[in-house]
Amino acid sequence: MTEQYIIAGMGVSIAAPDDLPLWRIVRQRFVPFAAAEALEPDLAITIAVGPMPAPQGETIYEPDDYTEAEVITGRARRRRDGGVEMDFWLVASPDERAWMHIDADLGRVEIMMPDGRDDYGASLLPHILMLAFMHSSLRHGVLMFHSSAVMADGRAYLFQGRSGTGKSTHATLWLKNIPGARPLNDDHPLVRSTPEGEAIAYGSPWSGKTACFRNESAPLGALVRIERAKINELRPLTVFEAYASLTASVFYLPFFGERLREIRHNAIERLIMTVPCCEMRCLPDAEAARVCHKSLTEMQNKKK
Amino acid sequence: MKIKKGFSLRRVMGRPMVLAEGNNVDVFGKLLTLNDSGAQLWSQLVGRDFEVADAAAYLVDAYGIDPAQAREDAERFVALLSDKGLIDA
Repeated sequence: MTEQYIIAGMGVSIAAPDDLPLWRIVRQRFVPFAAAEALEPDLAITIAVGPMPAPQGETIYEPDDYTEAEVITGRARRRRDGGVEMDFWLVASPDERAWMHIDADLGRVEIMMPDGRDDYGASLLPHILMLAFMHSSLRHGVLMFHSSAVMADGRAYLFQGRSGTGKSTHATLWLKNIPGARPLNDDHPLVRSTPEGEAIAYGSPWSGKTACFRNESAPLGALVRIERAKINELRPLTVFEAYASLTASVFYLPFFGERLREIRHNAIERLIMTVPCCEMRCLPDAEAARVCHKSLTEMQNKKK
Repeated sequence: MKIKKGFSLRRVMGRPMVLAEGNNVDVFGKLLTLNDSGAQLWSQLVGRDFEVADAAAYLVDAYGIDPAQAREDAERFVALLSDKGLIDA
């Protein structure tokens, strides 16, 4: 059977055998994004179960030496026609592999999951679907951010930062202390940036460890880098700082090639020019959320 | 000495900029913007084993400046990279 979804304005179809137990994993995340009417997908994904296909093409990525057992890693090859195929495994059980092929146009994806290992597939499949989507979506001007995202006053605010700096904590502080604030996504929100300079933030079927799969969207109000400090203070970033901050926060794998790198670069430059990019140096307290919200609101009012 | 791996040069808003690649990196600590000759020099040196003298020789060749000036510029360039932690001795 085939199910269709709309994610950040992109049509996505997933086809798999009716009795595939992993449908449960797919639906848990994707059902909120179900398309109301049949569509012509921008990204068509097929999931099958069976033995891994024989490798084709030249190796373009070898995994690093990870030691943490829960890490998902993989190896990538580029086929002669420009398509990329990848093997995935959990560091804890390197002999059980899953496999993906994404075509040169980034519009068609085939996934092969190992037979009889649904527990294993449950950890791998969301990750594989995410990798397929984040590269395919770049072509449509949709960027996947490593961010916590909230909505307030009809706008979306994305908080970036290195792991452990408190993006998620700061987002939670907004939800508790800013009237009307609602969660959008806790780890992987999407931003559609149009050549006309519009930027819209969307929820997605991926949200880190939080099951926050919301099919909502709002104009992007600001991109805010969170840094731990002893004070609560917001400052605008210079364009170069903003570029550095965004490139560290927009997901992608560099081996997908120069064309995708260019698309990503152009989209990030466009965002910098159209959306306020700031740094919030803050404590993990209620005051931090209030200062951040107030400063961003003042900044927007000044622009008008 | 060598320029560390994991950094790339590209034009941002028309200006050459060196960036750490990848997710979850210290983006501001290593942020570096260059002028055009700095960018040229970076491209010459990246991936190679070099000394200040090599950088200076390149500047003499490329810009026809005198060797003393080139030496001074090359030293300044290396010190800048070194300050940002972009050099492996």
